[in-house]
Amino acid sequence: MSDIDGNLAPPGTRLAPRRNLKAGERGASVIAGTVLGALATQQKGPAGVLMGLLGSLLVARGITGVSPAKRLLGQRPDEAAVAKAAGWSSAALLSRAVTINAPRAEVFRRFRDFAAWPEWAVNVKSIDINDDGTLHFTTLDPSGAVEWDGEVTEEHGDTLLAIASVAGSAFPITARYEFRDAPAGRGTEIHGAVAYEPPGGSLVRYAAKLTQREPGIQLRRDLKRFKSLIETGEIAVNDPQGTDPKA
Amino acid sequence: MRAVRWHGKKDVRVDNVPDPEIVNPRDAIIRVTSTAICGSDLHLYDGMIPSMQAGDILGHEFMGEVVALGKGVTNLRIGDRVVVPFTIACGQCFFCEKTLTSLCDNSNPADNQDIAEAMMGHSPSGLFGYSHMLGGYAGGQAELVRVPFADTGCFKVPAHLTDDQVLFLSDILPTGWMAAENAEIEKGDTVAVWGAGPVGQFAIRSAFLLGAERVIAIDHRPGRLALAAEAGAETIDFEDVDVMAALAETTGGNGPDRCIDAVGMEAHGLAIDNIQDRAKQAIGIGTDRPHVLRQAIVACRKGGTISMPGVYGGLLDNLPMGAFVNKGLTLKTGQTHVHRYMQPLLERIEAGDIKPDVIISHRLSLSEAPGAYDDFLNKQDEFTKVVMQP
Repeated sequence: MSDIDGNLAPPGTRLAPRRNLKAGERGASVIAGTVLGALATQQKGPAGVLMGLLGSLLVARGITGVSPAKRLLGQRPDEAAVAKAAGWSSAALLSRAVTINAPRAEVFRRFRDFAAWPEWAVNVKSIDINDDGTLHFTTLDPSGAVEWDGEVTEEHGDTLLAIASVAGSAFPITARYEFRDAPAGRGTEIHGAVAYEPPGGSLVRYAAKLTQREPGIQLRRDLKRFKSLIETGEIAVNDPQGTDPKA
Repeated sequence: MRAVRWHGKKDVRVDNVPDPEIVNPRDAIIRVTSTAICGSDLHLYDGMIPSMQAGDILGHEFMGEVVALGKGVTNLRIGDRVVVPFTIACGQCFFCEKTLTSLCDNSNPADNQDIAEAMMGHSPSGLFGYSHMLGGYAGGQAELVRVPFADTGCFKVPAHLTDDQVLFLSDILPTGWMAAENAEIEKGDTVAVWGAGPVGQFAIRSAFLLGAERVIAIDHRPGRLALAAEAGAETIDFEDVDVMAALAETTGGNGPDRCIDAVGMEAHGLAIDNIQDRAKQAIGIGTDRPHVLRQAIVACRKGGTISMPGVYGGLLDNLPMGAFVNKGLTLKTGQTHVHRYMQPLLERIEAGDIKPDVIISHRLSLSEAPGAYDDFLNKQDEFTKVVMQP
């Protein structure tokens, strides 16, 4: 949320280092590449050329310690740090900011009204308050409706609200929303960050994105919908649009 | 109700669809009395605009009578006769407060904003009947249309003005006006306008009203050039005349002070760069044909302004950026902030400064829409502007 080391690096924006392979990975890469290169000399035609090319790429990968593919697809360091701190096998960390043309106190008060979340948070069916003050969520994930308990873990005036699933939840997730005055009286900035343990790892995370029920996509759209509700009193929708062919 | 729907490239049909309903408190339902086909609808017809879906209702130039209102609309009544801006705007966001209504933050639904953001970084306002990237809203070439944020959008018009006189307040008249305003015309300027279609026609007339000394219209349709000449423009038919040479000569070697590109992404003409762009389009590695923009940059006088009301959809290449920078040019563009211009332009119409109906060439019924699209595309000299009565 806040600047890291004085750099403007909100969560979810930090990239893995370019040189991202450990000594063991580099050695294995060089060996595998060399073996592949040696085998390539025994092949004829395009297969040999392809194997030779792949082998030399692997050797280069090992010598330089740089793997662009791993950098693109693997966990980022801030995600690894979140996973480590939370005791998760891996973490997906996403952030999004939106500016709302309304005073901070009002924006915070409306945002803090959990009963109203289903109005603007598309995949939240309901949030009820349990007897012990914790929150009972009914949300939609790619498999359908799921229920889980969460709680407010941090709250400062009208500047910060953090929510997390309770310990041992089947859907480990934390969300943190910071509320700042936008410069020059231009309303309120909400800086949201959501971290969760992707069930089934990163592949399932991409599958969830396809169904649009992925917390990162939700964060992005929900903040916009919340903004629209605050600014205009309603949320823009485009249906019914007559897209179903009628004879 | 009956509505004109897009089913694919060069496939427009009149279909029966369910009537629209009030969905949000600030909605209105309008019974359409007049609706026009816009030049930018031809970009949809040609399949040039991404994120269209088969079955989308077209049309963004329309007016009519209020037949239903959401409970949040207090400034309109059933029976009001209104013109509706093609840009949908909430009226309350940062951009609307600055009257940059085509950049409204809230009128494009959040899911649709994702598509726009992926392509453009940020989402502009939602539009009627103009792709899902820009809202996915049903358009106004229909008997009925739902107008979101109707309290901001519906503009009441006086009874003594006919539909033909006020319909174009919805898009092309403000678009032509903003094109001239964006050109930063100073008294005595010479303004070159590429494209003598409806927007070009209004840009020509607006340029004179804003102080242009000379306006030069460039097109290849004699009928359209004649209409430009009626407004006092000098004309260049690019099929007969070398545009660049003619512009340089007629301005004493300086070039036009202000250049308006009222053509956009589908430039015509047999030029090497245009052929190259067409080839790229054909094999799917190019989207737009910015022949006019390239020409305007090179033709424009040093320190001049290029105003670009023409629609561009994707990526442009081979732009003469060196010329643009070294000649110190300014480029101004954007979808029209229609809401900003409706009242002042209504007053211009009432005063007789602008006669919008001069561009209407055909009045048809809604059921004739498929043929009208085809004719508007292929018989541009004859079909300047089609207005349909549902």
